[in-house]
Amino acid sequence: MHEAGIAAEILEIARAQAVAHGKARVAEVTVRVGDMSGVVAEALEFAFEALRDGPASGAALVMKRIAVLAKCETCGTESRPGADLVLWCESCGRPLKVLEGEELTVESVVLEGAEE
Amino acid sequence: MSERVAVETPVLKKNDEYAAGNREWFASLGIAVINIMSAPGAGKTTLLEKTLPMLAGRYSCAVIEGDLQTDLDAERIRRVGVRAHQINTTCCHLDARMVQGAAATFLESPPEVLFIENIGNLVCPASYDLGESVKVTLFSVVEGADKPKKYPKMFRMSDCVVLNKTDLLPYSGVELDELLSNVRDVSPEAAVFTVSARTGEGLAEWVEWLAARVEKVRGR
Repeated sequence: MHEAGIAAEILEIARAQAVAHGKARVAEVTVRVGDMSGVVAEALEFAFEALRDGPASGAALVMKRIAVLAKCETCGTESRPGADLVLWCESCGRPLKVLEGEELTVESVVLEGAEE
Repeated sequence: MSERVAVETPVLKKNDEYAAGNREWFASLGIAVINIMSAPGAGKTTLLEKTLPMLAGRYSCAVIEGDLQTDLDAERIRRVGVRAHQINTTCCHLDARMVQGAAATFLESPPEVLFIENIGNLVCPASYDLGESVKVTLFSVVEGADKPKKYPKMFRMSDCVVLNKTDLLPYSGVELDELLSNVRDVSPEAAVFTVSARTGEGLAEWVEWLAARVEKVRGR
């Protein structure tokens, strides 16, 4: 699984924010995880906890799951495909474009303490 | 005192930057890059062993092989007369930086078509842009008709889905129509081919599609 690599990237982005803002610690990292991002939440949590170190050694990981939102570019209908993931427009039978649900993004960090 | 800071950075930004660099580099050299992804044992190397001789004479080819251990696959490619570079990594996927290093080994005489045989894994490779021109998901029919729904990402992002091992259909209990319909549901716009790399059935159509894509990428 690639969640260890993902966790390492998240921690690096968070630590860089602490340095850039002159803060000692990262208290929290909020990440948007799309349902179609291919990331397993439990595996990411485990890897994040195992890899936390330095200014991020006490950081909490907050995951916001993002459901799949798709839009038909022909008729403009927006829909939330269920678990069966049929990515065709029910109204006009054209392929749907996925607007949300594929993202894997560090949304924000909570930083604390002045740099020592 | 704590402070919340908005970041809005894609987690794989670093890889994406390498991939963008690769894409520019490959374009400047006129190399069409084909990333082939699948679960282990779906037949990536066999597909390449059959595809490469069909492209010989039309394009100079090279192959980057990704595996956890051994250079068995690179050896198989060399046996059909094509240059191959083996990457061994403990990662479950290839990333854009590894591909950059491997591609550089061919630069004395850059190929026209560079195939990347990704690490066998139906999940992780889908997250890593390599700077390729064409993404292909290879899937052996014996893996089951439900898998495109269970592992949608790789199918969805591929330009082409090749369904392999059709010669095993009679023994598999898998209904080809059901599998095709599930592929279509999650990946409406991919080109889909059914082949048996072992018997050669269906390979001509796949190779013609591939050659047309190569021409398009190389701007002819």
